[in-house]
Amino acid sequence: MQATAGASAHTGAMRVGEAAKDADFTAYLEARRASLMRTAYLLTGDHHTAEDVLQASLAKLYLSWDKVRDRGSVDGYLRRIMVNENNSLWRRGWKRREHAADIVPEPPPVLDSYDDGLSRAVWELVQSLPRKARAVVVLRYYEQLTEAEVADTLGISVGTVKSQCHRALAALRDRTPDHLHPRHGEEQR
Amino acid sequence: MNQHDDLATRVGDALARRTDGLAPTTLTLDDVKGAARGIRRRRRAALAAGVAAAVAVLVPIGVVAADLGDDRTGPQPAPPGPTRAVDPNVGDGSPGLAYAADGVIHLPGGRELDPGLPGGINQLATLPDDRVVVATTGADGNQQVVVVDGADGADGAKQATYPMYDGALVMNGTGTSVAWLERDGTPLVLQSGLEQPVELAAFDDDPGYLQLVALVGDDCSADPETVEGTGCTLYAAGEGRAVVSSSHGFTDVLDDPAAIGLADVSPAGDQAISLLSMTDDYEFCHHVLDLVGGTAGTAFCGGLSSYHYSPSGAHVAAYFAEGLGGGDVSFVDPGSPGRVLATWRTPAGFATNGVAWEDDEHLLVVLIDDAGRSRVDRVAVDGSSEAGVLPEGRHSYVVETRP
Repeated sequence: MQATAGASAHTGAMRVGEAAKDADFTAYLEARRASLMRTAYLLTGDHHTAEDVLQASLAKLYLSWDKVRDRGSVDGYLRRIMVNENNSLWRRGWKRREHAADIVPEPPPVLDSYDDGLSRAVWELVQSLPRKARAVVVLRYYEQLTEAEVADTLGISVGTVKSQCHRALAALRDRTPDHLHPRHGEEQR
Repeated sequence: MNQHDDLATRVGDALARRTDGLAPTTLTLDDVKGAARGIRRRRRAALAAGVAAAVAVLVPIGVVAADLGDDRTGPQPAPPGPTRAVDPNVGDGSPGLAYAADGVIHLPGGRELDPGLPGGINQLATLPDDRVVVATTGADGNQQVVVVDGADGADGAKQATYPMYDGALVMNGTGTSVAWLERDGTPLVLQSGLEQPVELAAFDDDPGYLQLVALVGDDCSADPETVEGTGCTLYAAGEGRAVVSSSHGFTDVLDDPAAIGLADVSPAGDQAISLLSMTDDYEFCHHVLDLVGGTAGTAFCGGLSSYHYSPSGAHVAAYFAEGLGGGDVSFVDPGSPGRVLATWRTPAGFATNGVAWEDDEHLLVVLIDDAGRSRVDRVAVDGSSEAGVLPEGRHSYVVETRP
């Protein structure tokens, strides 16, 4: 009987612990879901893949929740998993088959009444980048992480972050119409 | 705000606008927990298979079997390998390879070179003619290769600088040549005894993002018309396939249709380990490709993703290396790399950040922890180890690139 009572108490304690973990995790999920989805979308380039990447990443975060939560770096940890998940997609057979198809599922384009041409150029450029370089651009310019934070997230050197950003901006300048250059017209004054 | 900052801001704004109106995700806690259960099941299955393989190998060796001679009948976890542990902060036994710490190059024997590179040292390799090849970050933020004079009395004077594509330095099996990619992707090889780098054929069929994997052969400067058996071949992993550039003046895609990546090539160039697939929970499947006969071996799967042949090719070290920091280091059978011969457990709190073969029996393992501390341990092929060969500190150690 004693053993049974002990086991019941242990099981009960585990349930309480799991319920607390679930409540904690749910609060995080509710607060960050929309923002995480936006980042996943920018990393992957399409809505469905973004959901896949986000679900797998959140599952891994859930498994490590007790360990990660105490470090106070949940967002950074999750970003790293998301980038790894996305970088790994191309290695998987199903993804290669998906690429072989002619029709790539895409959400309806986001209409931007203020788009002067630069937004489209940026998006096309980001889509054309290799996954790792794309992650650098998204984390640096969208998430506005520092170069050191991007390097830490991606497990690469600060120098690599700098060079990837430099290359991306240089390519963007080449592809952007002259009248959209930030300093266009200054030389005429 | 300068033009660069302005454009960077506008890129951020443009990306933010792109996500406006994005349909919200419907993911719930139940969805997440369901996916987590699947991952946990697969991890348990993989772990069980790994333990069984380790026990099957270690028990016959008898390294620790005597200690297990009690009446325990249930399955036992794999015992750790024998350890020549020393105080991790002592720095016992200097490494037999060059390394960099805080921008200073430390050569075997104790000599130091300070090349004065503000961008730090990302990677380094030494040549028998006393030159040190360093990958660094230039003032413009781009990668550079800097050749440093490592001769006595030269004090680390810079001899030459080359723009570098984002990638890696790789060295041939005899340690006489080091290769990298120029900014435009052209492969260059610096050979001991030759002042200028040799240019190999550029990878003309765009393979996407390139990562150099291996350099095989001793003389990249050999006349392309010379007989078979001379020259060199550079292997690189592109996105979804491996490509080669030969000093005989051609490039090609490695004939390994099932492969989607290339883990390593043996120093003799007779076999390669190719990546075949990777699952959601980071289970990697590989096979050995016989580069002479062109045949592929049976696929093997597990949690190891990064494979490294020893200088003679007699041993292969492997570990999990995917972003979050590498894990335990295993030594696998070169003929059948799915067979784990010994495993070294990463010290608590540390992750594996890189490895380099010190000689054919010992691996130097660069370890990092969450607080940014780094140290280097020496691990023998039987799984025994010597901790703190380079002492713990905030150094970001970089150990010399070896074959």
